[in-house]
Amino acid sequence: MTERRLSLLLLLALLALTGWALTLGTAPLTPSMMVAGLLPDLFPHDDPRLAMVMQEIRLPRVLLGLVVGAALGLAGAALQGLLRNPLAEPSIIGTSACASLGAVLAFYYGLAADFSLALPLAGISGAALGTLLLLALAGPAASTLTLILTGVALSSMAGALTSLALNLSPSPYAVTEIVMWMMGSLKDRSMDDVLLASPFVLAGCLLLLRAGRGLDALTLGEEAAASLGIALPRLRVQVIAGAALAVGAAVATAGSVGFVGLIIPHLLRPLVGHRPSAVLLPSALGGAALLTAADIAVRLIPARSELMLGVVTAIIGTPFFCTLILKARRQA
Amino acid sequence: MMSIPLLEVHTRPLLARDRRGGGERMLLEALRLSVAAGEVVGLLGPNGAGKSTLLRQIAGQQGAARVLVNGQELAGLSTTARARQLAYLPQSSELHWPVAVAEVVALGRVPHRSGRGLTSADRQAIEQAMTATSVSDLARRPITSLSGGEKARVLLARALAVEAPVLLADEPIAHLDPGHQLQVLTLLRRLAGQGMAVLVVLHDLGLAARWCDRVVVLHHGALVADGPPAHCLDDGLLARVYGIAATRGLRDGAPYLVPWEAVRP
Repeated sequence: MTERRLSLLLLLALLALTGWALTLGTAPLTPSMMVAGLLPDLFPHDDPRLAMVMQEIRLPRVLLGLVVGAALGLAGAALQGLLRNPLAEPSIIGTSACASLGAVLAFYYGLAADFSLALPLAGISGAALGTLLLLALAGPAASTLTLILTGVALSSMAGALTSLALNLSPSPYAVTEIVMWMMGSLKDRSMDDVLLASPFVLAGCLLLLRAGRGLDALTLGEEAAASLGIALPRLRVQVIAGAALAVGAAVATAGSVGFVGLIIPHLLRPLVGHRPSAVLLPSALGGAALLTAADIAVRLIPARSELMLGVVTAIIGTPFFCTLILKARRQA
Repeated sequence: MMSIPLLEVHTRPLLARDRRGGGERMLLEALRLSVAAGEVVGLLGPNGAGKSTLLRQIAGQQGAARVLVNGQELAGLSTTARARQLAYLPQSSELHWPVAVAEVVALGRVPHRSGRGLTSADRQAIEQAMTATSVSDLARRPITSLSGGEKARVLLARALAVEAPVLLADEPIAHLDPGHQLQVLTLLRRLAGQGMAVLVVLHDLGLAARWCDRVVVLHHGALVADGPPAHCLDDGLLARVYGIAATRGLRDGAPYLVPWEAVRP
Protein backbone atom coordinates (compact mmCIF):
# COMPACT_ATOMS: atom_id res chain seq x y z
CA MET A 1 0.00 0.00 0.00
CA THR A 2 1.34 3.45 -0.78
CA GLU A 3 1.84 6.05 1.87
CA ARG A 4 -0.80 8.26 0.25
CA ARG A 5 -3.50 5.59 0.14
CA LEU A 6 -2.86 4.61 3.75
CA SER A 7 -3.00 8.25 4.82
CA LEU A 8 -6.31 8.64 3.02
CA LEU A 9 -7.79 5.57 4.70
CA LEU A 10 -6.62 6.75 8.10
CA LEU A 11 -8.04 10.19 7.44
CA LEU A 12 -11.45 8.67 6.66
CA ALA A 13 -11.30 6.57 9.83
CA LEU A 14 -10.27 9.65 11.75
CA LEU A 15 -13.21 11.67 10.42
CA ALA A 16 -15.64 8.91 11.33
CA LEU A 17 -14.19 8.61 14.85
CA THR A 18 -14.23 12.38 15.30
CA GLY A 19 -17.88 12.49 14.32
CA TRP A 20 -18.68 9.67 16.75
CA ALA A 21 -16.73 11.30 19.57
CA LEU A 22 -18.71 14.53 19.11
CA THR A 23 -21.96 12.66 19.71
CA LEU A 24 -20.85 11.47 23.16
CA GLY A 25 -21.84 13.40 26.22
CA THR A 26 -24.43 13.70 28.95
CA ALA A 27 -26.81 16.02 27.08
CA PRO A 28 -29.09 14.08 24.70
CA LEU A 29 -28.60 15.85 21.37
CA THR A 30 -29.77 14.87 17.91
CA PRO A 31 -27.28 15.08 15.01
CA SER A 32 -28.97 18.21 13.66
CA MET A 33 -28.71 19.85 17.06
CA MET A 34 -25.02 19.01 17.18
CA VAL A 35 -24.37 20.53 13.75
CA ALA A 36 -26.34 23.60 14.79
CA GLY A 37 -24.28 23.84 17.96
CA LEU A 38 -21.02 23.66 16.04
CA LEU A 39 -22.05 26.05 13.27
CA PRO A 40 -24.59 28.47 14.78
CA ASP A 41 -24.04 30.99 11.98
CA LEU A 42 -25.09 28.53 9.29
CA PHE A 43 -27.84 26.82 11.25
CA PRO A 44 -29.42 29.31 13.63
CA HIS A 45 -30.92 27.78 16.74
CA ASP A 46 -32.86 29.18 19.69
CA ASP A 47 -31.14 27.30 22.47
CA PRO A 48 -27.86 29.03 23.46
CA ARG A 49 -26.88 25.96 25.49
CA LEU A 50 -26.35 24.00 22.27
CA ALA A 51 -23.44 26.15 21.14
CA MET A 52 -22.05 26.07 24.68
CA VAL A 53 -22.15 22.26 24.93
CA MET A 54 -20.69 21.66 21.49
CA GLN A 55 -18.11 24.42 21.34
CA GLU A 56 -16.93 24.60 24.91
CA ILE A 57 -17.25 21.02 26.10
CA ARG A 58 -17.29 18.50 23.26
CA LEU A 59 -15.20 20.19 20.59
CA PRO A 60 -12.17 21.02 22.79
CA ARG A 61 -12.06 17.46 24.06
CA VAL A 62 -12.14 16.00 20.54
CA LEU A 63 -9.70 18.54 19.12
CA LEU A 64 -7.25 18.02 21.95
CA GLY A 65 -7.46 14.27 21.36
CA LEU A 66 -6.54 14.81 17.71
CA VAL A 67 -3.65 17.13 18.54
CA VAL A 68 -2.24 14.95 21.31
CA GLY A 69 -2.67 11.72 19.35
CA ALA A 70 -1.00 13.14 16.24
CA ALA A 71 1.89 14.47 18.34
CA LEU A 72 2.47 11.12 20.04
CA GLY A 73 2.14 9.03 16.87
CA LEU A 74 4.41 11.22 14.77
CA ALA A 75 7.01 11.72 17.50
CA GLY A 76 7.12 7.96 18.03
CA ALA A 77 7.62 7.27 14.33
CA ALA A 78 10.35 9.90 13.97
CA LEU A 79 12.22 8.80 17.10
CA GLN A 80 12.06 5.14 16.04
CA GLY A 81 13.59 6.25 12.75
CA LEU A 82 16.29 8.38 14.37
CA LEU A 83 17.26 5.78 16.96
CA ARG A 84 16.69 2.97 14.44
CA ASN A 85 14.94 1.09 17.16
CA PRO A 86 11.36 -0.14 16.89
CA LEU A 87 11.01 -0.03 20.68
CA ALA A 88 11.64 3.70 20.95
CA GLU A 89 8.69 5.78 22.04
CA PRO A 90 8.23 9.49 22.65
CA SER A 91 9.00 9.23 26.36
CA ILE A 92 12.44 7.77 25.62
CA ILE A 93 14.13 11.15 25.39
CA GLY A 94 12.82 12.16 28.81
CA THR A 95 10.65 15.04 27.60
CA SER A 96 7.40 13.45 28.81
CA ALA A 97 8.71 12.96 32.32
CA CYS A 98 10.00 16.54 32.42
CA ALA A 99 6.68 17.91 31.15
CA SER A 100 4.93 15.86 33.83
CA LEU A 101 7.26 17.20 36.49
CA GLY A 102 6.56 20.77 35.38
CA ALA A 103 2.82 20.23 35.67
CA VAL A 104 3.16 18.45 39.02
CA LEU A 105 5.13 21.39 40.40
CA ALA A 106 2.30 23.68 39.29
CA PHE A 107 -0.07 21.52 41.35
CA TYR A 108 2.35 21.39 44.27
CA TYR A 109 2.76 25.14 44.52
CA GLY A 110 -0.96 25.67 44.04
CA LEU A 111 -0.53 27.57 40.78
CA ALA A 112 -2.95 25.28 39.00
CA ALA A 113 -5.80 26.45 41.20
CA ASP A 114 -5.03 30.16 40.71
CA PHE A 115 -4.89 30.21 36.95
CA SER A 116 -6.14 27.60 34.54
CA LEU A 117 -3.33 27.71 32.00
CA ALA A 118 -0.65 27.43 34.71
CA LEU A 119 -0.69 23.65 34.34
CA PRO A 120 0.04 23.38 30.60
CA LEU A 121 2.43 26.31 30.73
CA ALA A 122 4.42 24.71 33.55
CA GLY A 123 4.39 21.43 31.63
CA ILE A 124 5.71 23.05 28.47
CA SER A 125 8.43 24.84 30.47
CA GLY A 126 9.41 21.53 32.04
CA ALA A 127 9.62 19.88 28.62
CA ALA A 128 11.70 22.74 27.22
CA LEU A 129 14.15 22.68 30.13
CA GLY A 130 14.41 18.90 29.94
CA THR A 131 15.16 19.01 26.22
CA LEU A 132 17.83 21.69 26.59
CA LEU A 133 19.40 19.58 29.32
CA LEU A 134 19.24 16.51 27.07
CA LEU A 135 20.93 18.30 24.17
CA ALA A 136 23.56 19.82 26.48
CA LEU A 137 24.33 16.48 28.15
CA ALA A 138 24.32 14.30 25.04
CA GLY A 139 25.65 16.85 22.55
CA PRO A 140 24.73 17.01 18.87
CA ALA A 141 27.25 14.29 17.94
CA ALA A 142 25.79 11.86 20.48
CA SER A 143 25.51 8.23 19.52
CA THR A 144 22.17 6.49 19.72
CA LEU A 145 23.19 4.82 22.96
CA THR A 146 24.27 8.09 24.61
CA LEU A 147 21.00 9.67 23.59
CA ILE A 148 18.92 6.84 25.05
CA LEU A 149 20.97 6.73 28.26
CA THR A 150 20.67 10.49 28.71
CA GLY A 151 16.92 10.22 28.14
CA VAL A 152 16.71 7.46 30.76
CA ALA A 153 18.71 9.57 33.21
CA LEU A 154 16.46 12.58 32.66
CA SER A 155 13.31 10.48 33.03
CA SER A 156 14.58 8.96 36.28
CA MET A 157 15.48 12.35 37.70
CA ALA A 158 12.13 13.87 36.73
CA GLY A 159 10.37 10.78 38.08
CA ALA A 160 12.22 11.05 41.38
CA LEU A 161 11.38 14.74 41.74
CA THR A 162 7.73 13.98 40.94
CA SER A 163 7.72 11.38 43.71
CA LEU A 164 9.34 13.92 46.01
CA ALA A 165 6.53 16.36 45.29
CA LEU A 166 4.02 13.64 46.17
CA ASN A 167 6.02 12.75 49.27
CA LEU A 168 6.06 16.32 50.57
CA SER A 169 2.57 17.09 49.37
CA PRO A 170 0.63 19.31 51.80
CA SER A 171 -2.65 17.39 51.63
CA PRO A 172 -3.98 14.01 50.55
CA TYR A 173 -6.34 15.89 48.26
CA ALA A 174 -3.36 17.35 46.34
CA VAL A 175 -1.83 13.86 46.05
CA THR A 176 -5.03 12.50 44.50
CA GLU A 177 -5.21 15.42 42.15
CA ILE A 178 -1.61 14.94 40.99
CA VAL A 179 -1.94 11.18 40.61
CA MET A 180 -5.16 11.49 38.65
CA TRP A 181 -3.63 14.13 36.38
CA MET A 182 -0.62 11.95 35.69
CA MET A 183 -2.85 9.15 34.43
CA GLY A 184 -3.69 11.26 31.43
CA SER A 185 -7.10 12.49 30.35
CA LEU A 186 -8.87 14.72 27.87
CA LYS A 187 -11.72 15.42 30.26
CA ASP A 188 -12.71 18.98 31.13
CA ARG A 189 -10.19 20.66 28.86
CA SER A 190 -11.06 24.04 27.46
CA MET A 191 -10.51 25.63 24.09
CA ASP A 192 -7.68 27.59 25.76
CA ASP A 193 -5.82 24.34 26.33
CA VAL A 194 -6.25 23.42 22.69
CA LEU A 195 -5.08 26.83 21.53
CA LEU A 196 -2.08 26.71 23.84
CA ALA A 197 -0.92 23.24 22.81
CA SER A 198 -1.64 23.44 19.08
CA PRO A 199 1.09 25.87 17.95
CA PHE A 200 3.78 23.83 19.76
CA VAL A 201 2.47 20.55 18.40
CA LEU A 202 2.16 22.00 14.91
CA ALA A 203 5.71 23.41 14.94
CA GLY A 204 7.04 20.11 16.27
CA CYS A 205 5.15 18.10 13.67
CA LEU A 206 6.46 20.27 10.83
CA LEU A 207 10.04 19.72 12.03
CA LEU A 208 9.44 15.98 12.23
CA LEU A 209 7.72 15.66 8.86
CA ARG A 210 10.67 17.40 7.21
CA ALA A 211 13.15 14.89 8.63
CA GLY A 212 11.97 12.06 6.37
CA ARG A 213 14.80 12.02 3.90
CA GLY A 214 17.48 11.97 6.60
CA LEU A 215 15.67 9.19 8.45
CA ASP A 216 15.49 7.14 5.25
CA ALA A 217 19.23 7.56 4.68
CA LEU A 218 19.89 6.46 8.29
CA THR A 219 18.55 3.03 7.31
CA LEU A 220 22.05 2.44 5.92
CA GLY A 221 23.78 3.47 9.14
CA GLU A 222 25.36 6.75 10.17
CA GLU A 223 28.48 6.63 7.98
CA ALA A 224 26.60 5.89 4.78
CA ALA A 225 23.94 8.48 5.63
CA ALA A 226 26.63 11.13 6.16
CA SER A 227 28.24 10.17 2.85
CA LEU A 228 24.90 10.86 1.16
CA GLY A 229 25.08 14.45 2.33
CA ILE A 230 22.88 14.16 5.41
CA ALA A 231 24.09 16.47 8.19
CA LEU A 232 23.57 14.12 11.13
CA PRO A 233 24.01 16.59 14.01
CA ARG A 234 21.37 18.81 12.44
CA LEU A 235 19.04 15.88 11.85
CA ARG A 236 19.36 14.80 15.50
CA VAL A 237 18.62 18.25 16.84
CA GLN A 238 15.71 18.60 14.41
CA VAL A 239 14.07 15.34 15.45
CA ILE A 240 14.69 15.81 19.17
CA ALA A 241 13.44 19.39 19.13
CA GLY A 242 10.43 18.41 17.02
CA ALA A 243 9.53 15.49 19.27
CA ALA A 244 10.07 17.60 22.38
CA LEU A 245 7.83 20.43 21.15
CA ALA A 246 5.04 18.09 20.11
CA VAL A 247 5.21 15.66 23.02
CA GLY A 248 5.97 18.31 25.63
CA ALA A 249 2.86 20.29 24.69
CA ALA A 250 0.79 17.10 24.48
CA VAL A 251 1.81 15.83 27.92
CA ALA A 252 1.46 19.30 29.42
CA THR A 253 -2.20 19.48 28.39
CA ALA A 254 -3.34 15.85 28.55
CA GLY A 255 -1.02 14.19 31.07
CA SER A 256 1.02 11.12 30.23
CA VAL A 257 -0.65 8.89 27.69
CA GLY A 258 1.60 5.94 27.01
CA PHE A 259 1.99 3.44 24.20
CA VAL A 260 0.32 5.43 21.39
CA GLY A 261 3.72 6.52 20.10
CA LEU A 262 4.99 2.96 20.28
CA ILE A 263 2.08 1.02 18.83
CA ILE A 264 1.01 3.22 15.95
CA PRO A 265 4.31 3.40 14.00
CA HIS A 266 4.67 -0.31 14.62
CA LEU A 267 1.30 -1.21 13.21
CA LEU A 268 1.68 1.05 10.19
CA ARG A 269 5.32 0.40 9.29
CA PRO A 270 4.80 -2.94 7.49
CA LEU A 271 1.91 -1.43 5.51
CA VAL A 272 4.18 1.12 3.82
CA GLY A 273 7.19 -1.10 3.24
CA HIS A 274 9.10 -0.06 6.39
CA ARG A 275 10.54 3.12 4.88
CA PRO A 276 10.97 5.55 7.83
CA SER A 277 9.77 8.61 5.92
CA ALA A 278 6.65 6.83 4.69
CA VAL A 279 5.64 6.00 8.28
CA LEU A 280 5.62 9.64 9.45
CA LEU A 281 2.37 11.13 8.12
CA PRO A 282 0.31 7.93 8.57
CA SER A 283 1.57 7.74 12.18
CA ALA A 284 0.31 11.24 12.91
CA LEU A 285 -3.12 10.35 11.51
CA GLY A 286 -3.10 6.92 13.15
CA GLY A 287 -2.10 8.38 16.52
CA ALA A 288 -4.95 10.87 16.34
CA ALA A 289 -7.38 8.07 15.39
CA LEU A 290 -6.21 5.73 18.16
CA LEU A 291 -6.39 8.40 20.82
CA THR A 292 -9.85 9.46 19.69
CA ALA A 293 -10.94 5.81 19.74
CA ALA A 294 -9.47 5.34 23.21
CA ASP A 295 -11.27 8.45 24.44
CA ILE A 296 -14.52 7.08 23.01
CA ALA A 297 -13.85 3.81 24.86
CA VAL A 298 -13.20 5.74 28.08
CA ARG A 299 -16.66 7.21 27.87
CA LEU A 300 -18.50 4.07 26.76
CA ILE A 301 -16.97 1.58 29.20
CA PRO A 302 -19.31 1.45 32.19
CA ALA A 303 -17.35 2.06 35.35
CA ARG A 304 -17.94 3.62 38.73
CA SER A 305 -16.01 6.71 37.70
CA GLU A 306 -14.82 7.57 34.19
CA LEU A 307 -11.67 5.65 33.30
CA MET A 308 -8.53 7.67 32.68
CA LEU A 309 -7.25 7.79 29.11
CA GLY A 310 -3.67 6.81 30.00
CA VAL A 311 -4.99 3.78 31.85
CA VAL A 312 -6.93 2.62 28.80
CA THR A 313 -4.04 3.11 26.35
CA ALA A 314 -1.71 1.28 28.73
CA ILE A 315 -4.17 -1.60 29.04
CA ILE A 316 -4.37 -1.83 25.24
CA GLY A 317 -0.63 -1.25 24.92
CA THR A 318 0.84 -3.76 27.31
CA PRO A 319 -0.47 -6.93 25.61
CA PHE A 320 0.72 -5.43 22.34
CA PHE A 321 4.15 -4.86 23.84
CA CYS A 322 4.22 -8.47 25.01
CA THR A 323 3.45 -9.76 21.51
CA LEU A 324 6.37 -7.65 20.27
CA ILE A 325 8.65 -9.34 22.77
CA LEU A 326 7.40 -12.77 21.75
CA LYS A 327 7.88 -11.94 18.09
CA ALA A 328 11.42 -10.68 18.73
CA ARG A 329 12.13 -13.85 20.69
CA ARG A 330 10.95 -16.06 17.86
CA GLN A 331 13.11 -14.18 15.38
CA ALA A 332 16.23 -14.37 17.55
CA MET B 1 49.71 5.71 -18.60
CA MET B 2 47.02 7.49 -16.61
CA SER B 3 47.36 11.23 -16.77
CA ILE B 4 45.30 13.66 -14.64
CA PRO B 5 44.34 12.30 -11.24
CA LEU B 6 40.58 12.25 -10.77
CA LEU B 7 40.93 11.94 -7.00
CA GLU B 8 43.68 13.71 -5.12
CA VAL B 9 44.09 13.48 -1.37
CA HIS B 10 46.42 15.28 1.03
CA THR B 11 45.88 14.29 4.64
CA ARG B 12 47.13 16.00 7.75
CA PRO B 13 48.46 13.93 10.64
CA LEU B 14 45.62 12.44 12.63
CA LEU B 15 46.27 11.83 16.31
CA ALA B 16 44.19 9.97 18.83
CA ARG B 17 44.38 10.47 22.55
CA ASP B 18 45.83 7.37 24.14
CA ARG B 19 43.55 6.30 26.97
CA ARG B 20 46.13 4.43 28.99
CA GLY B 21 49.29 6.47 28.48
CA GLY B 22 47.61 9.86 28.52
CA GLY B 23 49.72 10.88 25.52
CA GLU B 24 48.78 10.90 21.89
CA ARG B 25 49.02 8.10 19.38
CA MET B 26 49.48 8.57 15.65
CA LEU B 27 46.48 7.17 13.79
CA LEU B 28 47.52 8.30 10.36
CA GLU B 29 50.54 10.29 9.21
CA ALA B 30 50.31 13.05 6.64
CA LEU B 31 50.19 11.42 3.22
CA ARG B 32 49.40 12.10 -0.41
CA LEU B 33 47.44 9.82 -2.62
CA SER B 34 45.90 10.08 -6.05
CA VAL B 35 43.71 7.88 -8.21
CA ALA B 36 43.29 8.47 -11.93
CA ALA B 37 40.14 7.93 -13.95
CA GLY B 38 40.05 4.31 -15.06
CA GLU B 39 42.19 3.08 -12.19
CA VAL B 40 41.38 0.53 -9.51
CA VAL B 41 43.66 1.22 -6.57
CA GLY B 42 43.84 -1.30 -3.74
CA LEU B 43 44.33 0.08 -0.24
CA LEU B 44 46.20 -2.59 1.71
CA GLY B 45 47.67 -3.06 5.15
CA PRO B 46 47.26 -5.24 8.21
CA ASN B 47 44.40 -4.79 10.69
CA GLY B 48 44.68 -1.43 12.41
CA ALA B 49 47.04 0.05 9.80
CA GLY B 50 44.66 2.96 9.19
CA LYS B 51 42.93 1.91 5.95
CA SER B 52 39.37 2.60 7.08
CA THR B 53 40.52 5.77 8.84
CA LEU B 54 42.02 7.01 5.59
CA LEU B 55 38.88 6.19 3.67
CA ARG B 56 36.72 7.96 6.26
CA GLN B 57 39.02 10.98 5.99
CA ILE B 58 38.63 11.05 2.23
CA ALA B 59 34.86 10.71 2.63
CA GLY B 60 34.99 13.77 4.89
CA GLN B 61 33.81 11.99 8.03
CA GLN B 62 36.91 12.24 10.16
CA GLY B 63 39.82 14.69 10.39
CA ALA B 64 40.41 17.42 7.86
CA ALA B 65 41.93 15.97 4.70
CA ARG B 66 42.26 18.08 1.58
CA VAL B 67 40.37 16.24 -1.11
CA LEU B 68 40.14 17.23 -4.77
CA VAL B 69 37.91 15.59 -7.35
CA ASN B 70 38.62 16.61 -10.93
CA GLY B 71 40.83 19.35 -9.57
CA GLN B 72 37.98 20.82 -7.50
CA GLU B 73 38.38 21.25 -3.75
CA LEU B 74 35.57 19.45 -1.92
CA ALA B 75 35.95 21.59 1.20
CA GLY B 76 34.14 24.51 -0.45
CA LEU B 77 31.12 22.43 -1.46
CA SER B 78 27.87 21.87 0.37
CA THR B 79 27.40 18.43 1.95
CA THR B 80 25.07 17.35 -0.85
CA ALA B 81 27.33 18.62 -3.65
CA ARG B 82 30.18 16.79 -1.96
CA ALA B 83 28.10 13.64 -1.72
CA ARG B 84 27.60 13.73 -5.48
CA GLN B 85 31.38 13.62 -6.02
CA LEU B 86 32.28 10.70 -3.76
CA ALA B 87 30.34 7.49 -3.36
CA TYR B 88 31.37 5.81 -0.11
CA LEU B 89 30.61 2.24 0.84
CA PRO B 90 31.46 1.89 4.53
CA GLN B 91 32.72 -1.31 6.06
CA SER B 92 29.90 -1.88 8.50
CA SER B 93 26.80 -2.49 6.46
CA GLU B 94 24.11 -1.90 9.04
CA LEU B 95 20.60 -2.19 7.71
CA HIS B 96 17.97 -1.27 10.19
CA TRP B 97 14.62 -1.85 8.57
CA PRO B 98 13.40 -4.57 6.20
CA VAL B 99 13.10 -2.06 3.35
CA ALA B 100 12.72 -3.35 -0.23
CA VAL B 101 15.95 -3.68 -2.23
CA ALA B 102 14.84 -1.10 -4.81
CA GLU B 103 14.24 1.43 -2.01
CA VAL B 104 17.72 0.81 -0.60
CA VAL B 105 19.31 1.40 -4.00
CA ALA B 106 17.15 4.52 -4.42
CA LEU B 107 18.81 6.00 -1.32
CA GLY B 108 21.86 6.52 -3.53
CA ARG B 109 19.86 9.29 -5.17
CA VAL B 110 19.41 11.25 -1.95
CA PRO B 111 22.15 13.78 -2.85
CA HIS B 112 20.44 14.44 -6.19
CA ARG B 113 16.91 14.91 -4.98
CA SER B 114 15.23 18.13 -4.03
CA GLY B 115 11.57 17.14 -3.89
CA ARG B 116 10.00 13.90 -2.78
CA GLY B 117 9.49 12.03 -6.03
CA LEU B 118 12.07 10.31 -8.22
CA THR B 119 12.88 11.95 -11.56
CA SER B 120 13.44 9.91 -14.71
CA ALA B 121 17.19 10.47 -14.28
CA ASP B 122 16.91 9.01 -10.77
CA ARG B 123 15.00 5.99 -12.04
CA GLN B 124 17.52 5.40 -14.80
CA ALA B 125 20.47 5.59 -12.40
CA ILE B 126 18.77 3.15 -10.02
CA GLU B 127 18.00 0.72 -12.81
CA GLN B 128 21.53 0.89 -14.20
CA ALA B 129 23.07 0.35 -10.79
CA MET B 130 20.83 -2.65 -10.18
CA THR B 131 21.58 -4.14 -13.58
CA ALA B 132 25.34 -3.65 -13.14
CA THR B 133 25.30 -5.51 -9.83
CA SER B 134 22.71 -8.03 -11.09
CA VAL B 135 20.25 -7.42 -8.28
CA SER B 136 17.29 -6.44 -10.47
CA ASP B 137 15.55 -9.73 -9.69
CA LEU B 138 15.68 -8.92 -5.97
CA ALA B 139 14.07 -5.48 -6.35
CA ARG B 140 10.99 -6.22 -4.24
CA ARG B 141 12.63 -8.43 -1.62
CA PRO B 142 13.18 -6.97 1.87
CA ILE B 143 16.90 -6.32 2.24
CA THR B 144 17.05 -8.17 5.56
CA SER B 145 15.99 -11.40 3.87
CA LEU B 146 19.00 -11.50 1.52
CA SER B 147 22.13 -13.61 1.83
CA GLY B 148 25.46 -11.93 2.62
CA GLY B 149 26.52 -11.98 -1.02
CA GLU B 150 23.25 -10.51 -2.27
CA LYS B 151 23.31 -7.84 0.41
CA ALA B 152 26.87 -6.81 -0.50
CA ARG B 153 25.84 -6.39 -4.13
CA VAL B 154 22.76 -4.35 -3.19
CA LEU B 155 24.88 -2.03 -1.05
CA LEU B 156 27.32 -1.64 -3.92
CA ALA B 157 24.37 -0.83 -6.19
CA ARG B 158 23.31 1.82 -3.68
CA ALA B 159 26.79 3.39 -3.92
CA LEU B 160 26.72 3.21 -7.74
CA ALA B 161 23.32 4.89 -7.90
CA VAL B 162 25.03 8.05 -6.58
CA GLU B 163 26.72 8.24 -10.01
CA ALA B 164 29.77 9.88 -8.47
CA PRO B 165 33.05 9.91 -10.41
CA VAL B 166 34.88 8.41 -7.42
CA LEU B 167 34.02 5.21 -5.55
CA LEU B 168 35.49 4.52 -2.11
CA ALA B 169 34.76 0.97 -0.99
CA ASP B 170 35.80 -0.40 2.40
CA GLU B 171 36.23 -4.17 2.15
CA PRO B 172 33.36 -4.76 -0.27
CA ILE B 173 34.26 -8.44 -0.65
CA ALA B 174 35.00 -9.25 2.99
CA HIS B 175 32.13 -11.65 3.57
CA LEU B 176 31.69 -13.04 0.09
CA ASP B 177 32.43 -16.47 -1.31
CA PRO B 178 35.11 -16.66 -4.06
CA GLY B 179 32.53 -16.57 -6.84
CA HIS B 180 30.92 -13.38 -5.57
CA GLN B 181 34.32 -11.88 -4.73
CA LEU B 182 35.36 -12.23 -8.34
CA GLN B 183 32.00 -10.89 -9.54
CA VAL B 184 32.41 -7.74 -7.46
CA LEU B 185 36.03 -7.23 -8.53
CA THR B 186 35.06 -7.69 -12.19
CA LEU B 187 32.39 -5.08 -11.68
CA LEU B 188 34.86 -2.64 -10.08
CA ARG B 189 37.16 -3.13 -13.07
CA ARG B 190 34.29 -2.47 -15.45
CA LEU B 191 33.35 0.72 -13.58
CA ALA B 192 36.94 1.91 -13.83
CA GLY B 193 36.78 1.06 -17.52
CA GLN B 194 33.85 3.48 -17.77
CA GLY B 195 36.03 6.25 -16.35
CA MET B 196 35.54 6.02 -12.58
CA ALA B 197 38.32 6.23 -10.04
CA VAL B 198 38.01 3.30 -7.63
CA LEU B 199 39.79 3.12 -4.27
CA VAL B 200 39.09 -0.17 -2.56
CA VAL B 201 40.24 -1.60 0.77
CA LEU B 202 41.22 -5.25 0.39
CA HIS B 203 42.65 -7.90 2.67
CA ASP B 204 43.21 -10.58 0.07
CA LEU B 205 46.70 -9.93 -1.31
CA GLY B 206 46.28 -12.45 -4.12
CA LEU B 207 43.14 -10.73 -5.39
CA ALA B 208 44.67 -7.30 -4.90
CA ALA B 209 47.72 -8.33 -6.92
CA ARG B 210 45.56 -9.65 -9.71
CA TRP B 211 42.80 -7.02 -9.93
CA CYS B 212 44.35 -3.68 -8.95
CA ASP B 213 46.30 -1.38 -11.24
CA ARG B 214 48.08 -0.02 -8.24
CA VAL B 215 48.27 -0.76 -4.55
CA VAL B 216 48.81 1.63 -1.66
CA VAL B 217 50.15 -0.07 1.46
CA LEU B 218 49.67 1.38 4.94
CA HIS B 219 51.57 0.23 8.01
CA HIS B 220 51.14 1.74 11.48
CA GLY B 221 49.40 4.74 9.93
CA ALA B 222 52.14 5.49 7.41
CA LEU B 223 52.18 4.99 3.67
CA VAL B 224 54.96 2.46 2.98
CA ALA B 225 54.40 1.64 -0.68
CA ASP B 226 52.48 3.00 -3.66
CA GLY B 227 52.79 1.46 -7.10
CA PRO B 228 51.97 -1.53 -9.28
CA PRO B 229 51.27 -4.66 -7.19
CA ALA B 230 54.01 -6.76 -8.77
CA HIS B 231 56.51 -4.09 -7.85
CA CYS B 232 55.23 -3.16 -4.39
CA LEU B 233 54.31 -6.49 -2.88
CA ASP B 234 57.87 -7.85 -2.76
CA ASP B 235 59.17 -10.33 -0.19
CA GLY B 236 60.71 -7.61 1.97
CA LEU B 237 57.45 -5.65 2.27
CA LEU B 238 55.31 -8.72 2.94
CA ALA B 239 57.67 -9.80 5.71
CA ARG B 240 57.96 -6.33 7.20
CA VAL B 241 54.30 -5.30 7.03
CA TYR B 242 52.36 -8.56 7.29
CA GLY B 243 55.00 -10.92 8.72
CA ILE B 244 54.37 -13.42 5.95
CA ALA B 245 56.10 -15.02 3.00
CA ALA B 246 54.29 -15.61 -0.28
CA THR B 247 54.68 -18.08 -3.05
CA ARG B 248 54.63 -16.65 -6.55
CA GLY B 249 54.15 -17.80 -10.09
CA LEU B 250 53.07 -16.83 -13.56
CA ARG B 251 49.85 -17.68 -15.31
CA ASP B 252 49.45 -16.68 -18.95
CA GLY B 253 52.29 -14.24 -18.44
CA ALA B 254 50.63 -12.53 -15.46
CA PRO B 255 52.29 -12.81 -12.05
CA TYR B 256 50.26 -14.07 -9.11
CA LEU B 257 50.97 -14.49 -5.44
CA VAL B 258 49.55 -16.65 -2.67
CA PRO B 259 50.28 -15.85 1.01
CA TRP B 260 52.12 -18.97 2.17
CA GLU B 261 53.47 -18.88 5.71
CA ALA B 262 54.02 -16.62 8.65
CA VAL B 263 57.61 -15.48 9.15
CA ARG B 264 59.41 -13.38 11.71
CA PRO B 265 59.79 -9.89 10.31
